[in-house]
Amino acid sequence: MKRNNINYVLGAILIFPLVVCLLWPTFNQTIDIDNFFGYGKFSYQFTANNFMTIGSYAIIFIVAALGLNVQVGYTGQLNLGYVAFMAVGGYSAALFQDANRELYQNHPFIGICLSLLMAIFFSGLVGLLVCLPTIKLRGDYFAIVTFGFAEVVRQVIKNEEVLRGSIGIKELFLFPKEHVDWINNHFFSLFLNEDMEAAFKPDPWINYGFFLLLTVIVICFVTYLRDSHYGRMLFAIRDNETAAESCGISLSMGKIYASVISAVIGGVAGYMMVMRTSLAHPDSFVFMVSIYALCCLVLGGIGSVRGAVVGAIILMSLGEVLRDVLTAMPKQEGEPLIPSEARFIMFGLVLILMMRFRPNGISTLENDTLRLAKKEKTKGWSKYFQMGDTDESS
Amino acid sequence: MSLLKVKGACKFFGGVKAVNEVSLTVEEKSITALIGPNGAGKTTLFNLLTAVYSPTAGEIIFNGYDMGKLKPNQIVSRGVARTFQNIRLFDNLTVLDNVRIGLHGKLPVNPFLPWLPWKKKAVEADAIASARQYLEFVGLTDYEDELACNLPYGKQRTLEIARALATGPKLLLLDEPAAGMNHTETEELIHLIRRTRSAGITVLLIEHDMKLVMKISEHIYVLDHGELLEEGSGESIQNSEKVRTAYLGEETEETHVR
Repeated sequence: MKRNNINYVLGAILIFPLVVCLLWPTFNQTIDIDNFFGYGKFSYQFTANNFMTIGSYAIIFIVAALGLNVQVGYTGQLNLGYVAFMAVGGYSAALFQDANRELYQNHPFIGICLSLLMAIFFSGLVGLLVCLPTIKLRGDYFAIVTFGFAEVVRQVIKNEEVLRGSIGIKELFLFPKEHVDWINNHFFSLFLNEDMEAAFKPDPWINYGFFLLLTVIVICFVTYLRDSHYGRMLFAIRDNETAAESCGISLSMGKIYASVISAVIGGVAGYMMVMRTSLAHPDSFVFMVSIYALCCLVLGGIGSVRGAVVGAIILMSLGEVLRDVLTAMPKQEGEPLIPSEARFIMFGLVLILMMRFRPNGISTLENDTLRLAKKEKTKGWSKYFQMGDTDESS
Repeated sequence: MSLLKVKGACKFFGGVKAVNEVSLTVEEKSITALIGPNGAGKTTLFNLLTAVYSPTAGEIIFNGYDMGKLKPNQIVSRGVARTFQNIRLFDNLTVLDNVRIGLHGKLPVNPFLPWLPWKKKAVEADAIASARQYLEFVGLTDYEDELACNLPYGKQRTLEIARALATGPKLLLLDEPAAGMNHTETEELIHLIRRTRSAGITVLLIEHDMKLVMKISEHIYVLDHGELLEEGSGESIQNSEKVRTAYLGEETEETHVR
């Protein structure tokens, strides 16, 4: 029964340098195949830059999956429009930064804190607004409403002049160029040789460090929630709404609580997403993003913190590596041999295999919230996807 | 002094009169039973008492409060706890966690409070200690770390009672607590209900096991077709012609011939 947050913190802090060390020999190694099945030249280079792209993408989805987990895994409400919260968080931070560029240039720390607060506040507010009319909805109906809401948010952004429409907000930054350069110059020249320095320098490492810090905070937050009596309130609502009410739990308060927390974490994920690409654009908040987050969750095990982290790392790095590998495929008449969209097949394959062999996800360890692994009554995650009101009242 | 007063409660589902003009009184610190054939409206009446349904007409007065417009969770905080006919436990949580959820109403309500580590530690320690007390009271101490869904049927029913007791009720509503229990378990249940009463909690129960009902209840109400048929002590109910008719059907010439 003893769970230590410190394990997660240490794990999250240590795993990153560890992975860098492990992958060190592979950086800048080129795989060259002259005649790839008779189609032409296949050339793939795995650079430090690649690694950072993959790593930061995985980190964003760790945060997104953890936030979604509060609503789907803890409270049992299937949210298919999680990307709406991410979009609101990302856009509120981006708009704020766009309006106060001077401040960001001169006082980056104040700027970062303020825009993060903006992201948290507005996404939380939207979480509340979505939750209020959907309190009485369950299962598929809730999923449909959230799905529709996400699409509404995207269309509003796309067509609203104030939000820069389909042009998007460009040239956003987390730390100004000078800070990034200073860190890179002083940090890497300490222990890297010149080749390696050249490989690592172009990346804004300080940004990734900041993302990692945010991720650790979010992990602590959700584990803490899980172990508190407010977490238990959410589990009670997930397992049996009527019984939860008969224990003195207010369903509406519980659902609002879960929705707001989930939205706030989603806002942080959206903030990271916008800052990573330094671009806020409606096309980066499409429906597939919420499906990715849900896939990460299903892969890792719905309801488990460890599962969300593991699932996001596996699925997102697989997806990104596959994209790079597929783009490196030989081209025929300018068209790639296999389009890079083919990587989505992998998502489906992974999910089907999961459902067949481990319906409760990779991480169903004994201490997790959905403690079903070795038990008799294995319902699996499909339980949360059944039609409507399944309460057969007596 | 009467703890619960129901005055002419009605619940109609369209044309079906599930509960029709039922009035009853439950005395403080008593064990009262509610019996009747299947479909008599006993569980519907329980659902009215716990605000799962809102009454079509009538008044429910508990401890001097009108309970008519409250929500289920507010009713719990006023001191009415219940168990369910078809067991409703939190299957994926441990036995201890189930009871701790029952304690929820007593724990601090500030949503920001769980984020202060030192507060949370104290709150959780208190919750675990008192949850263990309730488990000891019903005799489930050995099952503390089991998953609720892995308990045997009888123990699940006991756990539901423990969870209901953890909300700190004045009135405990038991919906068929002995259903599916074997003889020994029923005996234990009788002891448990008696101990609950001596702890100062009023018990109102629905039950089909007449042996249990006659053994422990001081006052019995009989419902049939949503209406109150008879009330009285165990003996007077056993001798009532009306009750016999409701349960066994009317004695007609034809049945005599056969």
